Amino acid sequence: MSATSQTIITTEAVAVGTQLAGTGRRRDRRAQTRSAIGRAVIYVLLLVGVGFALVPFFWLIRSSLMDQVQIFASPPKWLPNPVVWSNYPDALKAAPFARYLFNTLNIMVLVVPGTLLSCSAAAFAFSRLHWRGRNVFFALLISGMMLPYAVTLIPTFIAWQKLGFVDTYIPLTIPAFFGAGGAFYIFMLRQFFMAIPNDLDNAVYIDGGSPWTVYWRVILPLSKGPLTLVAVFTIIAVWNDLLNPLIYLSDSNKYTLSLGLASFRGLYNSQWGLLMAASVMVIAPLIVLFFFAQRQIMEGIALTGVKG
Amino acid sequence: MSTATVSRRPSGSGLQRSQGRWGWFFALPALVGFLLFTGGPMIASAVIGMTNWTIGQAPKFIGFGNYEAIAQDALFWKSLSVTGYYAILAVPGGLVVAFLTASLLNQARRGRGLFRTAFYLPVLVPPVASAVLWLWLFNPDAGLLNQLFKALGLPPLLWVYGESTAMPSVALMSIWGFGNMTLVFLAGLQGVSKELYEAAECDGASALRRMWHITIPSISPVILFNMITGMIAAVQVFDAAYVMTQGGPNNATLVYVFYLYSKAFAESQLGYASALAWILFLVILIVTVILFRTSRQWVFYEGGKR
Amino acid sequence: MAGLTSPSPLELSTSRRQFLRLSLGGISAAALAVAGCSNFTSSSSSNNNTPGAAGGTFTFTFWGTGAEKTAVSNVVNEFCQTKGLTPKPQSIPDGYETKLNTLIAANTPPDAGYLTESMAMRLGEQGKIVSVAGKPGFDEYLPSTLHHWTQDQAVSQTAVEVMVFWYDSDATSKAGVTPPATSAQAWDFNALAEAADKLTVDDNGRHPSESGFDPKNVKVYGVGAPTNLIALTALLKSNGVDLFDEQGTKTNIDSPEAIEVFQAIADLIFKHRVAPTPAQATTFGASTALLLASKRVAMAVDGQWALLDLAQTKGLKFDAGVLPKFDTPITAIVGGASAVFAGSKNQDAGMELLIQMGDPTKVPLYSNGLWMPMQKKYYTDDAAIKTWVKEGVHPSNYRTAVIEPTLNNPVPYPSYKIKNFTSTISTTLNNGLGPLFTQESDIASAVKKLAASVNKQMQGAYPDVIG
Repeated sequence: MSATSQTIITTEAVAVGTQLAGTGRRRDRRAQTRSAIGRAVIYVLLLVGVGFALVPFFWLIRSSLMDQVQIFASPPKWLPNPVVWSNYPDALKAAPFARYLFNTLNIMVLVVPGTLLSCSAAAFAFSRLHWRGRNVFFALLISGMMLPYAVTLIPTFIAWQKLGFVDTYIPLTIPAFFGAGGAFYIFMLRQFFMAIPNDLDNAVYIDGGSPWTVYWRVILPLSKGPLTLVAVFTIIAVWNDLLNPLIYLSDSNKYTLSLGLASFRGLYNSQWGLLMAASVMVIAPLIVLFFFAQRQIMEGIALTGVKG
Repeated sequence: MSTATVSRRPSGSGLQRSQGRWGWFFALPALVGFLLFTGGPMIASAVIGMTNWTIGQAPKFIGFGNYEAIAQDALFWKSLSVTGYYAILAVPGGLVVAFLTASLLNQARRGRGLFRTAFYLPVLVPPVASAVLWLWLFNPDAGLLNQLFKALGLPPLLWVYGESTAMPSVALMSIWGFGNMTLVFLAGLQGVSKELYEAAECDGASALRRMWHITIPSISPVILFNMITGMIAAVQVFDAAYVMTQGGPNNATLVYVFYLYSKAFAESQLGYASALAWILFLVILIVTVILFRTSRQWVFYEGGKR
Repeated sequence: MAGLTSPSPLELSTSRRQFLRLSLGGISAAALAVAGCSNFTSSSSSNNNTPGAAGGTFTFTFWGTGAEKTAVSNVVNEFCQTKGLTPKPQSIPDGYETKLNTLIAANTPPDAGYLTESMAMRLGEQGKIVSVAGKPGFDEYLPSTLHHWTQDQAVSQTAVEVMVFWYDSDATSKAGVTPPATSAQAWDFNALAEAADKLTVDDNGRHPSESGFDPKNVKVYGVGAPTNLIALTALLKSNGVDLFDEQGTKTNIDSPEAIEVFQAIADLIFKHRVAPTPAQATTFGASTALLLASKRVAMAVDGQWALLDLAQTKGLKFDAGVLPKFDTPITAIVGGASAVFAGSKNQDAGMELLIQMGDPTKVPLYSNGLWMPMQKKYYTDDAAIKTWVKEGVHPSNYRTAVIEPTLNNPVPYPSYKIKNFTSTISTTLNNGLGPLFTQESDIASAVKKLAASVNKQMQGAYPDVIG
């Protein structure tokens, strides 16, 4: 049995939820052709989906390389002609983006580790430990996601203002170390942690280890995937956050990228070409980050599925 | 084969007691954070919801006066139905599309990284830019979507400019941004044990059966997660209305949080808006509890302490 | 145990590499945090959040980017220096009302700043802003720029804006069309449709009045339909009816005069086919300058503020005309609000600053076409007019087509008079009127329904313009 299962694994023919019938067993040629067609179908479907996902993005890029008149030409032009490269340096000059980038990174450097630590710790407590009040607290945490932010904005602001921390990064960074805003992540990590079998925990306990050991040496290493996922989500959230910096910051030297981007949308006329170019520049690092992170995410998670 | 304990709980009251302490230790930062940054403001807003606070004036306690006024408010009911409509379109739609995409992605061998990144791209576009983009796409005359329809021989639609097609268009836009759900599904799919599939194939199960009996139960925690978080997010949808439609045409896209937001910040009626928020809270709470309770029927956890 | 790897060996093999990676990450993160130290302290004077302690700071909040941001910041900076105050001009790029409401709720409003119209009137009523009625300098303002929340208390606009009939002068002269340059020459809607017909051509060069005209492939539209609410206010008044009644209890959009106006506009789009639908116009571009420059539309009704863009658009020859009329030629006047907050410790300085911002010699935004001044002399006195009406920016018809109507026959936009207008009622109106021009519909019944829902939102009115 193991020889055939090896074959099956190495030919990588696990079909899930598609019209695929065959599994590529070398002996079954009809199954092989079917699997080839099936695989082609998969790729075609994927490409169609990618088209749907990417068309608006393509529109963004082509608009960033056009002047105003061309952008709005009707019928719409697909390719810029002439290509207006100057939108990019002009956008950079229009606002101090280097400073904004630095500021955003400044915030991120604190928020990401803070979130990872506090959220994974909480998720661990919710999924692998028994303690009094656990379910109540979990319910409270989830309920925190249910109240629209618009109405807690002002009470929170007043509190920070009384503490004297308005117009600093404190309200934007310190809460991350306390899992604030992380109910989503805690919930998600809890679900993933619960998919890890208990045997590993028990092995540690039997050897006389503490839950800390389980956390630090068992759960975390096995959860590289979900943790990277949380890190990526957090980075994106901080990068694109407009409302919080808007409310708490008044010194424009402290502004973040998202505020810089918003400045292109004026009341009387928006500088569309610049807005598009700036948007592309703001998104680009995220794309690169994601491209390199996604493999880590996926492969990290695959490990958790390995069983004895 | 592991000789690990049959029962899932390690025995020994000493270990149990220390577990209790450890539980508190690990949860403490989040607990403190919740009390300070979430719970506190929530209580504050509940109190505000019982006042007639218009920003700039001193608030006066009016008990349930806001709630009484809300019941009479036609726009409140309109926004509820609009939001419900949106949730019904966007949540199942998003779940299905995300799941199928994740399944497909799971299959692909070549260029997985590129595909995954491509599908995730829409999530990264800031709302400002994305609203403009979609307005172009939705344009009844020159927009891409109607051009596509024309090419396929279908009649053109008014998309966001038409009262009946506005909300479905917004739902479509949200499904475009389903990258987060897809990613979480994909992560879940990766964790499904391959051995189960092999065993099923050996027994001659078809692809559909394998999906129904293996995949879906295995990732059921993930499905539940996406369902609940998707529902909570859908009911609080805001950006599309704020940046693109302003609730129009004719209130067809007047989603609840947009209405709440304009009450709070355009009309400065924070008391009223807080009351609106708590009504939404109750609705979400009820739906979530229902989802959680019924989940015991179909969600299967591998490990952890239930 | 087959396949069960204990975690420790897994970790140890990569631990050194991991450790290096982690420490590298940690060091750069720490370096970043240290370098950004200043971000964690608020600048000393703004930590003292009571607005502007005397001799301390002066905060001025505004929206506006680009040229406006630079100009306003400069004025604030220069002014504060003469007064020995530390200037803090704050350009808020988005969500202005959200931010300002938050500041007011926390009792830390700025010293002075822009306000949206409804918010200004409401704050006035609450005693949160300082009235300018009868104060030195403000008595020179045009009466229609001072908006009273009670008989003797008022707020002033940020600047004057009116509706103007902009047109591509190249296209009109080629077609033999002369848009009206004075109120006396104002077109009625028939004349407008005729003129627009001469300017509208499809891809085959046919006009809508000719047979064989292809409405699906129009190359140039003669005119942009005036569906903007400000323009509608002017047109309704021109036909004898106000948008709302005097007490602010109901709207008049379902009156026969109003229906006549809406029908005339809809006819431009669907009957005469000389105008694009608003949805189509969105494709063309968000600004009049783009509409004209791309030669998609030859004439358009838009605010005076479009002049800034138009003047900077290369290769575009344009001019200004008066709005079309029904009975009497009217234009609508509007312009945000600027106010000093009652909590400010520098109220007098704030009032002076507002006057300064109204001075065309100090602020370049008047001569570059964005704003119009508020003091009467800039409309009547020749020498004063020359300080802000510039050749090369303001087109040849500007005096007769823009300045005179502003002085002689403006109707104020109801955003000041009607409570809650900018915050809710205008949105309801816009969202409800839009469909009328997107496709052919029964206007009479549609506006009756709309009027019913608008009336439910009415909360009364302020005295507004006096004298």
